[in-house]
Amino acid sequence: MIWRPTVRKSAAFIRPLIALAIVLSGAFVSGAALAVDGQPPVQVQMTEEGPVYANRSGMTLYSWAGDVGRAQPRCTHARYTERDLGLFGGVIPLPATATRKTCADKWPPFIAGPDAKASGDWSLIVREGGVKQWSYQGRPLYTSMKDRRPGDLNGESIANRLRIGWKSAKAPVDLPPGFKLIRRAEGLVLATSDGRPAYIRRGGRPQRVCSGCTELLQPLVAPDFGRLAGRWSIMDVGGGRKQYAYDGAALYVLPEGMTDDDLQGVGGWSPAVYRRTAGAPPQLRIRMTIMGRIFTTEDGRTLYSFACAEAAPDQLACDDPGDAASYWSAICGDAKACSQRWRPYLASPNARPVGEWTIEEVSDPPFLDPAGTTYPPDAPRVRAWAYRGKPLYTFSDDDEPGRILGSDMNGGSSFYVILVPGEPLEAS
Amino acid sequence: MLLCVLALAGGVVGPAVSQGPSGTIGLVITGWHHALQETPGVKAECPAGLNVSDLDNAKAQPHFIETRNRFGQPFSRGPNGEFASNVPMAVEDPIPFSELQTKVGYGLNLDGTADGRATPRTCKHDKFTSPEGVQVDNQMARVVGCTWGWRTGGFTDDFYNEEIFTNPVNRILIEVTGVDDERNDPNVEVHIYKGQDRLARDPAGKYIPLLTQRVDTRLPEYFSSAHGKIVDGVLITEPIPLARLPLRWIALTGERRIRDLRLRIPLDGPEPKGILAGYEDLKTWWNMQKAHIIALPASKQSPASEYRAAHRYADGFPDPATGQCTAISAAYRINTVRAFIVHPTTPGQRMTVARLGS
Repeated sequence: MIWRPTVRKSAAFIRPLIALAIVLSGAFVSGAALAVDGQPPVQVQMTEEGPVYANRSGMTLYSWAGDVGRAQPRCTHARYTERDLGLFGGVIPLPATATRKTCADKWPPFIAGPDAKASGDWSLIVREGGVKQWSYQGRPLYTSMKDRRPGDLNGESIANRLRIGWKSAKAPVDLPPGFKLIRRAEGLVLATSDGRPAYIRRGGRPQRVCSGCTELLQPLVAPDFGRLAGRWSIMDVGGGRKQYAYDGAALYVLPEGMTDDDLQGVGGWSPAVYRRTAGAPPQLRIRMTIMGRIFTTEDGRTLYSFACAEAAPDQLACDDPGDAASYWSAICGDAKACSQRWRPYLASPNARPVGEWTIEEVSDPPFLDPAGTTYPPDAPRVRAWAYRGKPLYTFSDDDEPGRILGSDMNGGSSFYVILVPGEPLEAS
Repeated sequence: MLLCVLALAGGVVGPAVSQGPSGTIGLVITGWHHALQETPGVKAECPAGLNVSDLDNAKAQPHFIETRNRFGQPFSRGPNGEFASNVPMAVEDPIPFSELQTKVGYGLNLDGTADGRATPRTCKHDKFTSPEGVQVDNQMARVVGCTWGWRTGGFTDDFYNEEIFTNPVNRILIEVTGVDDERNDPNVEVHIYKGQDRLARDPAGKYIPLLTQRVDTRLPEYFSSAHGKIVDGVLITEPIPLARLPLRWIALTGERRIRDLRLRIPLDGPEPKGILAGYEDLKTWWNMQKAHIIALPASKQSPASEYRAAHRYADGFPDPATGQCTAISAAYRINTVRAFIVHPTTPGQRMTVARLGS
C-alpha cells in the first residue's frame, strides 16, 4: 500500500496532474488548481494557516457560522438599523446607520454561474432572488472585503475573545493517520492529532537510532505495514520498531504535559516544520507575558490591534475603515484623546512588508466626529504597521516594557494584544 | 506514596510541613475576598444602602436616551459617547455613591502610624480599628464596601473565586522555607510564585490539600520574597516592596501590583486562612475594573464613582510631582490549602513531575 500526501480527492475538480505536482513538490502552490466546465472556479491557496480554498483571483473563501442549518444564506443585503441588547439596554439604534454596510457588502457571496454543477463536497445554494451561491461541505462561501491580496486571511479574527463566526474554507491536507498541522512561531508544524508538536534532531543527517532520545522524547512509532511517499517515510529503528520520518528525519514528541521549555538545556531539537513562516519584520520583538508570548515594538511596548463585532443580527465587524466611530470614542473619548492614547506604530520609509505584516495607510486621528465614521477623507493619514490588515497601535498607559493595560477593555469592541501564533499561555 | 515518588525524583520537592531544620511549608491560594465589615442589614456599615449600577446611573442622567441613540452604544454616557468604565472622568454619576462608614475594619497596619497621618510614603487617611483594637489600613474597603458585587456572595466576588479554581492563571503559591519550628520561628523566608497547575476539589466542594503545584518558571516577574517569622503559629512577613500577582477575572487576564505586601496567616490545619495586605497600584487595579462593563449591572458597580473614590481614598506612594497618592491600602482574606510546591529545574525533573501530573 502506498500512501501519498496530497490534496484529497474530495476536491474532485482539481486537475489530477497539478495535484500530483503538488504532491511531488511537497508544497502547495498558489493558483495550483483551477476549475473547468461548471465546476467551482476555485484554487488552493497556501497561507500561513495552511492551504485554503480561494476564488479564481486567489482571494480566500470563507464560511459563516450564522448560515449553519439555514435553507438560505443569512448574509444578505438586508440593512439593519437597530439591535436588541436585552438586559443591557433593550432595543437601541445601531451607530452610523446611514453609512452602515450590509453583510453582503462586507462578505461578497461566491456566486455560481448559470451552468454550475454540484460535485462532491461542493454544492449550490439558492440565495434570495434566485441567484446561486457555491457551498463547500454544506456551508455557503464568501470572500471578505478585508482581504486585499491573494493569500490574505484578514477575514478571520485574530482576537480570540471576539467570536465573529467567520472561518476560511480550509483545503484538506493529507497527512499520515494521527497527524495534523498546528500553527506556531516557526510556521506550520507537524503534530499528533492531540496537538503535540513533532520534533526532529537538529543538524546533519538524522540518526537512525537516537541514543538517549527516549529519556526525554518519545519516538513517533509507525505501523509495521505500508509505505509513505513524498517527504514522508518510515524508518526501521531496530528491534522490530518503525518510526515516522519527515524529510528523512525521525520524528519524536514530548511526553504529555511537557512543553518546549522542557527542551531548553537539552539542545539539538527543533519542531518538524511543514512550512516555515515568512516571519516578522525586524521592527518587532517578542516578549513573554501573563497573556502568553506577544509582539511588541523594538523598545518592548505592547502592540495592539482594534477588533470589533456588532451585536446585530448580521454580526458585522465594525473595525473596517468607514465603520462607526463611536466604538472608538466609547473607549477613548474624542478624536484628540483617542489619537493621543492610541498611537499607530509607524513604519519607517524604508520598511518593507513581511508575510502577514504589511504597511497600511492609517487614519490618524481615527475619526473626526465621534458620532460619525472612521477614516473620514479629510483626516490625515500615516504609514503604520499592520498585522493581517489591521493597523498596530501602542497604548499611552503602557509606561514600561511588557505592560499590558489596553487589552480587552470592552467586550465586543476593543484592542487586543497580538499573540505569537499557537502559543497561548493558558487554555482559556 | 506520592511523596515517596517525588523524593525519588531527585529532591525536587520540599516536605509539606516542617520536618526538622530547613523545613518547608507550601500553600496554594484557593480563595480571595475583600476584608470587609459586613452585617446582614447593611445599614450599620452603609447608611446610604448599597450602590446602584452604571446603567442605573445612566438612566438617571439627563439626556441619556438621546446620548445613547446618538452614538448607538448601550453604555454611552459622556459627551463623545464615552463609557464610564473606560473614561470615568468623562461623566459624573447623578446618584450619590455609598461608602463604608464603619470605624471597625479589617486589615494590617501598613503605614506604621496610629493615626494615619501623612508620611513620606503615605497620604493622610483615616484608619479602621480592628476587632482586636489594632489601627489598620484598608482604604479600599471604603471604595468597595457598599458595592454588592464585592461583598460576600456578590457577583464579582463569587465569579473571581470560582475562577481561582477554574483557571491556572490564578495559581498563586506561597512557600515558607527555613522552618525549624512551625509554632515559633524567628527566621523564615517567604516566597510567592505563580503556579501552573489546577486545583482539585472533593465531591463536597472542599479543596484537596497536599497536591503537587509546579512553579511556573516562564514568568519570574511573578516571583517575590520576604523575610518572615512565625509567632504562636502565625506566619508574619516583612513587606515585599513590590509583588506582582497574576490575575484572571471574568475571562480576562491581567495582574495585580501590590506594594509593601504583607502576609499574616495562622498556619493551623490543612486549610490556613489569613490576611494579605498592601498597597494596590491604582493604575493596575483600575485596568481590571474597567474591562468588565458587562459585569457592572450584575455586580451593581458604577465606575465613574468608584474611580473617583479610589483616587480620593488613595493613601500610598505619593507622586513626587503632584503629591497625589498612586496606590491604595487594601486587605484581603485569603484561603489556602497546603501543597507540595515543586521547582522543576532539569528536564528529568520536569519530566517526572509532568508524568505525575498527567
